[in-house]
Amino acid sequence: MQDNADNIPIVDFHRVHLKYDQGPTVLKNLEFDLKRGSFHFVTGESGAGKTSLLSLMYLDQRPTSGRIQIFGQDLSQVPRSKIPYLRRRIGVVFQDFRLLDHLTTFENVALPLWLAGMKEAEIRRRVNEMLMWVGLERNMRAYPPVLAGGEKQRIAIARAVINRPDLLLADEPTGNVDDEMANRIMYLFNELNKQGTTLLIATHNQEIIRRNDKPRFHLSKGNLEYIPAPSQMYAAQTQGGTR
Amino acid sequence: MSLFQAKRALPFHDSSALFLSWITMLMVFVATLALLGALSINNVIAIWQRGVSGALTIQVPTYLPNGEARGDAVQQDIAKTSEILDATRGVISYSVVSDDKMSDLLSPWIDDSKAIPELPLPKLLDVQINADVFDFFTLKDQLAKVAPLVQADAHRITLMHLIETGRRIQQMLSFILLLLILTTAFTVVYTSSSTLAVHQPTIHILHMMGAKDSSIAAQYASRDFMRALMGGVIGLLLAIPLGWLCSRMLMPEQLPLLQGASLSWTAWSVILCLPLGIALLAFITALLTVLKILRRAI
Ligand SMILES: Nc1ncnc2c1ncn2[C@@H]1O[C@H](COP(=O)(O)OP(=O)(O)O)[C@@H](O)[C@H]1O
Ligand SMILES: [Mg+2]
Repeated sequence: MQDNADNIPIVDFHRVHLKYDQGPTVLKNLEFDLKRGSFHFVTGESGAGKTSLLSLMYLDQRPTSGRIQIFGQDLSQVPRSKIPYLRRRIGVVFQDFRLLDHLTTFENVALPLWLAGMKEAEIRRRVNEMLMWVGLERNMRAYPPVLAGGEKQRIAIARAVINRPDLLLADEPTGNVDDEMANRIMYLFNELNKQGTTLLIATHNQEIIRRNDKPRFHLSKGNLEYIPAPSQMYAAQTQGGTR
Repeated sequence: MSLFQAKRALPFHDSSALFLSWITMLMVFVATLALLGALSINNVIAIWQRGVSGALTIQVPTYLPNGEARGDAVQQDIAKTSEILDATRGVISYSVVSDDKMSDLLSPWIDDSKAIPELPLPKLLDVQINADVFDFFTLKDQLAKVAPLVQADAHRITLMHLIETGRRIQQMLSFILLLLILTTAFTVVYTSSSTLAVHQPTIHILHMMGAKDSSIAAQYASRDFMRALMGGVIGLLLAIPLGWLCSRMLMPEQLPLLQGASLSWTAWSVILCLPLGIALLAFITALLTVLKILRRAI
């Protein structure tokens, strides 16, 4: 039986505008939604507003106007005391990583679990497993300032996915790693997606977009254009050709 | 690797680290001395008060200072005094101490009991009072007007003045304690807000990870609790020997009026709880300050 909650989009934007206080209008009249378990890319030139778009979803920015619903809840109506619980269902890979420099790799990755009140043994098990997966087991005790950009990025990713979020927002998650690691990360994301996590990944990486047959949103001049997955476009074209 | 470290989700090795400990050390040091003083005075006042409650003696001199007998004037004074006593609130009863009673009282000190009636002794009035409503100074003023030679007992006046002075000193010490408490609270508010500004990027990340305001505030609060407790314990350890020395120097056994100034166990436990009290104050102040500031964030 399908209950009602399954039909509600994970993310729902309605006529959303964003203009920074001393800055340009970055997003204009956005109207789109992300279904549960979907997987989309966000593309656009540098400065197009990809980070701004994601930050509206993880409540780092408030829209200038319009309505945003996450997990069916209108963000403007969510009381402050409930926001942490909403954020715990969202994993974020920040473009600038935003690691805590005074915590070790292990502690950084463990942080969301610890904040959610998980038992120490379970935290240990999960974090060790995750660090193995992203190839950071040998950097467990290291502090971020001594690590390379690619290593920090992998910590950021591990931290974002450690509590198997319902929604994963990744901002250029493969910008600092080599191709092999980029593929490994995409594999991880795909696995999460199969388990039900809704994904939205902002990226420049054409290779990644080409290899992963997913629909994308293209941002340009504040407008959002929906571009279907390559396989769907091909299907549509061949259908059109046979007519 | 201990998760204990992860629980320090905020970088606490900031420049204000020692500031709060220093302040609370000073605060508790001064507060301990002030409290020691206030509580000692309290004890002494209680003892003095026992001396002024219940009974009062009024003397009617039978001879003038130049040795002349006053004759009938004595009975007139007693009558006037009785009139005033009848009209005074808080006087339960009074009686003139009889000559026989006087002799009995004095006989242990005077060998020749037959000589007692010859001595220039004053007449005494023994007055029972209810100390709650009785106003000694009003009585004294009235007596001075109608019977200037009649004396209400001098010992009592000294004690009442001492009690008054003791109360003043206590008020002053309470005021100092209040200032210390306020200063500590303001210090915590100040250090919390300034470190909060320094930690802003970290707090932002913690918020993004789903941290609750209350858990962030609790971290600041428990940090300040520990810092204040540490400073407070040191302040107490420094103040107690000094307080003890002071009591030794100021209250030697030769001063009977100050006997009984040694503190009860209750008083000592109040003093020993000072560091804990000031640490709790720091905890609550930090908690409320941080929560208030965080509520302004998105
Ligand atoms: N906090 C901010 N305040 C003001 N302007 C901002 C802020 N963040 C981003 N911008 C501006 O908004 C535009 C979009 O930025 P951003 O969302 O970071 O784009 P992208 O991630 O696609 O590179 C840029 O012009 C940028 O300068
Ligand atoms: Mg960006």
